[in-house]
Amino acid sequence: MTDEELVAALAQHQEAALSALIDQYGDFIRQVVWHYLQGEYLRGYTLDIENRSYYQIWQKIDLYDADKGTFKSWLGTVVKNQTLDYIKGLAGIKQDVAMPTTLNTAAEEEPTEPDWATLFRPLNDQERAIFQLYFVDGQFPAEIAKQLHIKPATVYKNLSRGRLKIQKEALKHGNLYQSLY
Amino acid sequence: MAIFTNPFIEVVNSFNGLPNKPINSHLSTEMQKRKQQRTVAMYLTMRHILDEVQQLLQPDEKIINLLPMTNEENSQMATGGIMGMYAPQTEETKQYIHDQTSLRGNRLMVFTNQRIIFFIVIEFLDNPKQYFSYNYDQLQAVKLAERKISVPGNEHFWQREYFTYYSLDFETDDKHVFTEFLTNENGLLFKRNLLTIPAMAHVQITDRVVRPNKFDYIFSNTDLASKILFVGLPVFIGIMFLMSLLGALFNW
Repeated sequence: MTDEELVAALAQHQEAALSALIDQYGDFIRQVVWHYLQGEYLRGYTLDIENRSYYQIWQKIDLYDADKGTFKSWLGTVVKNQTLDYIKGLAGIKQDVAMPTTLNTAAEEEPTEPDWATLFRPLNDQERAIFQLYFVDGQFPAEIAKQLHIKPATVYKNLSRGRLKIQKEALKHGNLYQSLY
Repeated sequence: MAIFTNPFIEVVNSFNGLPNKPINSHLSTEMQKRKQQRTVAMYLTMRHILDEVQQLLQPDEKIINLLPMTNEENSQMATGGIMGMYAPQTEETKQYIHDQTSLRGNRLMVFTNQRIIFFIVIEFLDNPKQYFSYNYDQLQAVKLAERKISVPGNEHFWQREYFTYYSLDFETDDKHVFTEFLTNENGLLFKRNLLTIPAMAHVQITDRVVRPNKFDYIFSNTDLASKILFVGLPVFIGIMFLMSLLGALFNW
């Protein structure tokens, strides 16, 4: 497919054009993304950035003007901007791709664990130990019960009671859940 | 981890902000391209779907995260075989079937700060009114029980490999019953939501099915049904066999 045919097919939103675009320019798009994504961690977001780039191309193909440059250089610019915006973070991404503002999006740095110590502050010692094992370490209630020498039913009871305590504390002070979002 | 042919989990996880490095080095160039085509098509579909979901939200409602479920990773009880059949209504859905070779398998649970929105992707694509809404204030208890399963190991069959999964079950006050098996990743996300979404704080976590009334406990309870099938039925057959044997021996 020539560039003219490809652009015309993309403008008509033909699925075959998407396949042709990936066929003809998939490697080029990845090269552009990786040129700007330095480091192993950031390259973990390659697929997401590529998908966003294809979405932009799909949505904004009408903006391509053949008089101003080749299709390849237009693609390069779109992908470069997507990658740089992604790296810049949430604000850039929302603005450029009209991402729903309510959705979480990848940040520049590796996500850190929530502040569990603050969240678990309202709990007593036993509840805190159970919450740590269940929510942070990902253990099963049966395993927790064995480890703490209590009944599995007590583990479930503590999980329900403890979450209510956290909610009550959050209602009082309103700052417990902030560490999570 | 999602299987090679279905990019649904991968795409939804990218919406959740999880890193998703391409690890297709074991695939040929042609296969890598085919996989990418499916992934991109799925991404475009999901963007459209999330735009529709945005329309469903209340002004003060926000999406916290998304929980993807597939036939390959979760249960197929209501979305595989005959139950998985589907007749597309729109061109977009026909294209989805063509691109993804998938019918009712892909499901999505959207956690907001007020409720869970659940739908089967293909149905929602056809008709954005085809979804279930479970408000947290109508949820009193959730069964989230961890389970382990073992399979023969790759090295030696006697060395078992263990996999964990979760059994999820709840009924809302307006009598909607939801039963599903969650993968380990799904389960961890659900657990975290139970802890971190303030409106879910009152929801009790249990390891057994909870129903507001006895009728639902008997007739809408897969746990009880399986117990009857796998324990009750063999015991009943055993008793009948014993009775006939005794009858034959003593001429009753």
